[in-house]
Amino acid sequence: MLAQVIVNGILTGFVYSLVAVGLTLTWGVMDIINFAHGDFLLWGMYTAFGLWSVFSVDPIFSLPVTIVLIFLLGYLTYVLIIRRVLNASGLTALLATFGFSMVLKNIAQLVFTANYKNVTNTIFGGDTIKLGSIYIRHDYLAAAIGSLILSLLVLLFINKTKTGVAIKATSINRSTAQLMGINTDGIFAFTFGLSGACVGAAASLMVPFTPITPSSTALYSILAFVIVALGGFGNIKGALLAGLLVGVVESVGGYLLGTSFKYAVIFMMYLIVMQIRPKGLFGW
Amino acid sequence: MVKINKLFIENSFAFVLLALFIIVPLAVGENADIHNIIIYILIYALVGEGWNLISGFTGQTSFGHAAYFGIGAYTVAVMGNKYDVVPWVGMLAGMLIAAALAFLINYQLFRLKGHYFAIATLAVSEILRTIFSVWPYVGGGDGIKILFRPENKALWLAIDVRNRLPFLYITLALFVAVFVLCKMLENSKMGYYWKAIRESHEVAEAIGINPQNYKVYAMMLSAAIAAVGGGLYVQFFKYIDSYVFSLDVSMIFVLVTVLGGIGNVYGPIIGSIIYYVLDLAMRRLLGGTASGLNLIIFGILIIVVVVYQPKGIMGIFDDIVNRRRLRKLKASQATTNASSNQTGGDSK
Repeated sequence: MLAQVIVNGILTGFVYSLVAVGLTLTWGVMDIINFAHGDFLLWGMYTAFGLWSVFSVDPIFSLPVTIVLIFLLGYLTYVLIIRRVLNASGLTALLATFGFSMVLKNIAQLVFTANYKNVTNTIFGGDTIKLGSIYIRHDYLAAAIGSLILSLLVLLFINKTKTGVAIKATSINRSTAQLMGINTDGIFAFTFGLSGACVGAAASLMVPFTPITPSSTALYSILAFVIVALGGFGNIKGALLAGLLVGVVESVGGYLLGTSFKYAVIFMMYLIVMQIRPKGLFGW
Repeated sequence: MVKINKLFIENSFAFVLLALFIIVPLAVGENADIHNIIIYILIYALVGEGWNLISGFTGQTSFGHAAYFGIGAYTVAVMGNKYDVVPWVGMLAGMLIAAALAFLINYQLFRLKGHYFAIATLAVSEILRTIFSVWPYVGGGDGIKILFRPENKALWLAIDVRNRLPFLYITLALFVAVFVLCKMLENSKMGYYWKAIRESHEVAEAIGINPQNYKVYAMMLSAAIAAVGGGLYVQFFKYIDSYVFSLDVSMIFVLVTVLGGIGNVYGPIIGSIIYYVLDLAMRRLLGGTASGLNLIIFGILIIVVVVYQPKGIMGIFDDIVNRRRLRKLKASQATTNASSNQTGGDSK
């Protein structure tokens, strides 16, 4: 039974990782706390739901659409809002994204109402694979593998491509990066878009097993905050591993102590880990 | 007499505000909606002042002030319902418990810096939220409904549905007390230490300030103030459950303070007024809250204010004052230049 719980934790952990990788890009690189991150996820899920219910497109095929759309949403968020508060104190930008989060959430509620929406009968469906005594649901597995691949792609992109290195340089020192001929404004806009793309992908991967309502993503954004801090700000590998850890701790903690304590266990773990590693598990 | 005059002139803005808060509730008559809004404005501004001490003056952002707000609220509720303790004593106890808790938790947590600390404060309030949602002593998931006690009405702390004025003025008095305390702290030695820590942890350390201790003092004071707000809130709202520990509640304190102007004693009250007046106006204009249309426009307004003036509403006032000073300075320079030119011309 415990093995089953751990496997479930790992599978959810990969999805948490992808959401957190998106958040760590903006938080780490630009030092902007994006409170609307969870609402990006929400809009990704509603997009996937809309495509499924109107055109009966399976979420796995709507993946590219949500990636592109939420990329654009992130890009526009930067261009229209964040750019104007970039030089103010961090809390000002936070307030702006908080206002934007309110707007996004309530438009979703206006359009889709507060009722739960479910995407059903997907290609991967609710069937299971049996490995010994462990059951693995197809849709969970697909979401986990998809999240892992995309997270690794982002990691690879940041470390190996020219744009990725420019993002890293900008995160280390903005003015020096500018002196090196990097268009930091463009980099910021692209990073915000990339952050959105991660969340958009996570949304499409999650919808087969996540009921959608305007408030359902609030928890994901709080968890993403904790994961990002746990992994060390701006550290993509850190976010990936911390997401996995949080998934497992949540699952095992919930199993041992009861489901009402599963999130408290995560927060407790954060406080304890931070006493030993005050800059996150993989921070420097 | 001169001293008193000076006090009035230097703080004329505060006295105008105070006069408004005394007169407006009387002027609107038996308007429960407006009285409610004013009470909310004062409670959240009061907690905002507390949040401002640690996050505005000392520079340690807290996303978990709901923890202390909730502790204050629960203390008043539990002591009142179970042991017949009057709310005044309950509030005092809540302050002490919140300050003690702030000491216990933050003495260790202040090793963390910046965002790592902010997320830790969020974690603390979320843990409290879980504990209070399952702890039978505090009502568990059902929360606590405040029992009505006639004797509290005589103490002006039980809200009377038909006459909210006594409670409103008690809240105002407590807010004024907190405001004066914060204003005094801002210009005290402690206040300067806090600001030194905010500007640079290392430099503060180098000039002989112990940042750890002063951050803990700020947090304890801040927590005690938040607990007072919580005590008032529960007397007003008459019901409490573990939702009070959520990030949504913590964010209100951040929101009103940053909207008004962080690190400014006028910030929380100005922000709170703007926040609730806009909220009320949107609800009045667009009807019920079910559609969420009012919140959409409200969100847009927040963005517009922040984008237009990143320093908050107080930033706009500062700009006006600075511009006027600059004009005066230029005018006086022009006259001195003119006179010096004259003398210069004479010597030639």
